[in-house]
Amino acid sequence: MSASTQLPIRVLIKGASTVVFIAEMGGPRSDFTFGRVIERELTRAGRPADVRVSGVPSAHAKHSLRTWERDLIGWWPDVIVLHHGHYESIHFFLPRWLERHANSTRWRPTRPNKLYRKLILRPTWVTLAKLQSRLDRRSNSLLFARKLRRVANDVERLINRVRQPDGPLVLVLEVVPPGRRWQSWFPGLVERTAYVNQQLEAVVRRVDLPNVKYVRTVPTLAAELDSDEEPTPDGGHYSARAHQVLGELLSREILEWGATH
Amino acid sequence: MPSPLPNPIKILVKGASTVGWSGTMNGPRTDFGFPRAMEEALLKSGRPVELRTLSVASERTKTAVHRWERELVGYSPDVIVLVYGHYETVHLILPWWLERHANSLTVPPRRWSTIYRNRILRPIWMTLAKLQSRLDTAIDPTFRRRHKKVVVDLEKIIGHTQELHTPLVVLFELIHPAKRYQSWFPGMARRIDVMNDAIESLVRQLDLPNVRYFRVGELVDKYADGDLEVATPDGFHYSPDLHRKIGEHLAREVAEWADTQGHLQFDTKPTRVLGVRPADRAG
Repeated sequence: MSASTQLPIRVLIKGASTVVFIAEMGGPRSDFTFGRVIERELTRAGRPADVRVSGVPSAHAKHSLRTWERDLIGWWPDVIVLHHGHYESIHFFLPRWLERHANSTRWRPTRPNKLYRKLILRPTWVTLAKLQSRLDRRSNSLLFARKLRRVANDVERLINRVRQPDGPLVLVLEVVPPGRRWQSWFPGLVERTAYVNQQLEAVVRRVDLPNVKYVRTVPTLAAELDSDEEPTPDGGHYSARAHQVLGELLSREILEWGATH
Repeated sequence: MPSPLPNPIKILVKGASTVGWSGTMNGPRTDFGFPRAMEEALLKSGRPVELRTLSVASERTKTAVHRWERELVGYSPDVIVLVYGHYETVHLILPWWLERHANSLTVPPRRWSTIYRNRILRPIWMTLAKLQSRLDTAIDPTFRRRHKKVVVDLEKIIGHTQELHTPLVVLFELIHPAKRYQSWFPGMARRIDVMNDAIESLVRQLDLPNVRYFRVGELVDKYADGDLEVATPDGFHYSPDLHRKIGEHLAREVAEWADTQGHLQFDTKPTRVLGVRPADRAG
């Protein structure tokens, strides 16, 4: 009989494109998202890990709430990383269904589809995005702050679903402000990001459990990256280096928590 | 301090029933499908593997285009094996929805449903299938040009996979149906030839070292003497032996590729201490 095997730490990461995309697409396989960095860091530390990423582009916190039963019950992870609030703060008023339709990567490359997207959808989308950008600059960026408060409510409800005295470690990530490239398209995004971060931090304070933490990502990224290096060079998605830094930050949190459990 | 562990090779195998179904079901637990045979071979060679297999009966390539985000993006596999194009070669004219409805394996066994299926649906389906079989010998079996759509869909999926940091992508050669289905689908062999040519041309045209075409026909020749009755005992699906051989050969290809990938080498580098810039650490 072979030697006994250590039980892996189960980590579930939930979020939108921020958790699954790297700003520099098409790079080498060693460009990891932070989920895989966590897995590598845990295995490097001699802890077997089972890391699952339940994230798709443009996923809302409410979608995570909808899928929590499927993602959690049965598998019941030791650590849950929640990275929500980014997508919800991007657009001033354009609806998600339109954004998903316009920027979908799941359409079939048939001729009518290509023509429709090139001649109708793309110009319409770009016009609306420009209009949104102008309105966002002129009006109060937090005019629709209700939807950002809803993100916090959804995250709180999600935490309450897994809330137990000795429940899983829940890490709620701070949303990083947009890079330069997105600031002209979404002039109010900086304010909205700050607002959603306040709301998320308030949720963690309200829950007030030692195993539910708000993880400040911005100071660590600022300390680790070079002074002229943007964490989100494409405007909204972490660079490979930023993913690396975040993965290391989170794996340290997980290892510290794992040492006491 | 526990010893460091190696990074697993993440593998995703996707396709229709060919991936998960065996030509002789009800065998022992050791009758593995080729994905698990590949996992076993890699584990035996000392490489940790995390394998996911998504196999849905009658899945078409276009469904894979719709689902790629959900299935691939979060997992971000190192190796993606795509076994597509087979279903599109089976029927000449009968639509997918009718085939799925007639041959569904997910219908609950209720009285009225069973009566409907036995008395109405089955006879209609058989009549249409016979009619299709006759037509398949009378007209050009490739007139619907489905291979073109499959190739365009595969190209789209491969394009997206390359954005996910250039994993190894393996496309499968399809093999002809055995005798049992040759009379039902007389034009299928011709459609498979056209489909294989189209998929192979796509791989050639993409000309990427990490997008490859896996020749199953050579394994049928080598391990079953080219006999399709041995290779696919039920007419369509690989025998357990062929599954195993495919898995072993795939494992070899994956292992060779993994040797060239730095992140899959055994790595004992300690975790960095955060909060200090690399430049500050250097000096």
